[in-house]
Amino acid sequence: MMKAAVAPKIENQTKVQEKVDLPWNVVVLNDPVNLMGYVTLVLQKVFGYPAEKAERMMMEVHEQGRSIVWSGNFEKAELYVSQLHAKQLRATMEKVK
Amino acid sequence: MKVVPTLEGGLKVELEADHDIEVLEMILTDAGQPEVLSAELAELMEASDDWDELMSPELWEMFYGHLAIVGKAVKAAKELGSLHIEKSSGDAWYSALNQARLRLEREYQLHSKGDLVMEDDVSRNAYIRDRFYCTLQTLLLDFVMGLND
Repeated sequence: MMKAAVAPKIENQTKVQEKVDLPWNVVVLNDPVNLMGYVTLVLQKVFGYPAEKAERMMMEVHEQGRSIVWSGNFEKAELYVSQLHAKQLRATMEKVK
Repeated sequence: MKVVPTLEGGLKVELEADHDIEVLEMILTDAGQPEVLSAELAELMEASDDWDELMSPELWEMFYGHLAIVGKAVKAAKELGSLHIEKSSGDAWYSALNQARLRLEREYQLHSKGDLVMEDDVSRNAYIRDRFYCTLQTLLLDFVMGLND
């Protein structure tokens, strides 16, 4: 009984910690100028993603207008957005709902 | 104008007609003021209050730096009769061409206008330059820029 009562508490703490650590999405938005191959290359360079994953995200940007390319803490999200802006990609960040 | 990849991993643009150099000089004219692009990107960052103040100056300084590299190479091309894009300046070239294309899009809405873009000379010329810059960007992606650069 004791063990069963303690276990959910730890799980809750983990979930709360997860929310603190992972509250922001980095979003890449579509634009009519940036080339598809370039967007894929930038996602590989900035996030270290394998080609297939970067290409999948690029296609999502192209077809749906946006793609969440990374989630994590605020400071790191800001850093990633600044790196994407430096590559002239339209990027923003939003709080995970 | 003829573009060929070099053994060193760059591109060589051979100037064949008198107006070739003028087309290359238009890259800088079309790129306009990098402050506009960095301000546009900052507008996307509602989540961060001081983004424009902190990040934009660094960004437009970098964009200006890329334009300066391109300007210097185009100036040298005037004397040499050919333009050399070194592998190490591939990113700067791509950036300058992108700045030019982004400004042309902002100014003439080339992609949303469709065939209408061909109806007046100014828009048509802008469209042709955009296509030329895009071709150069594709060549940079194919032959110059890589994951490890």
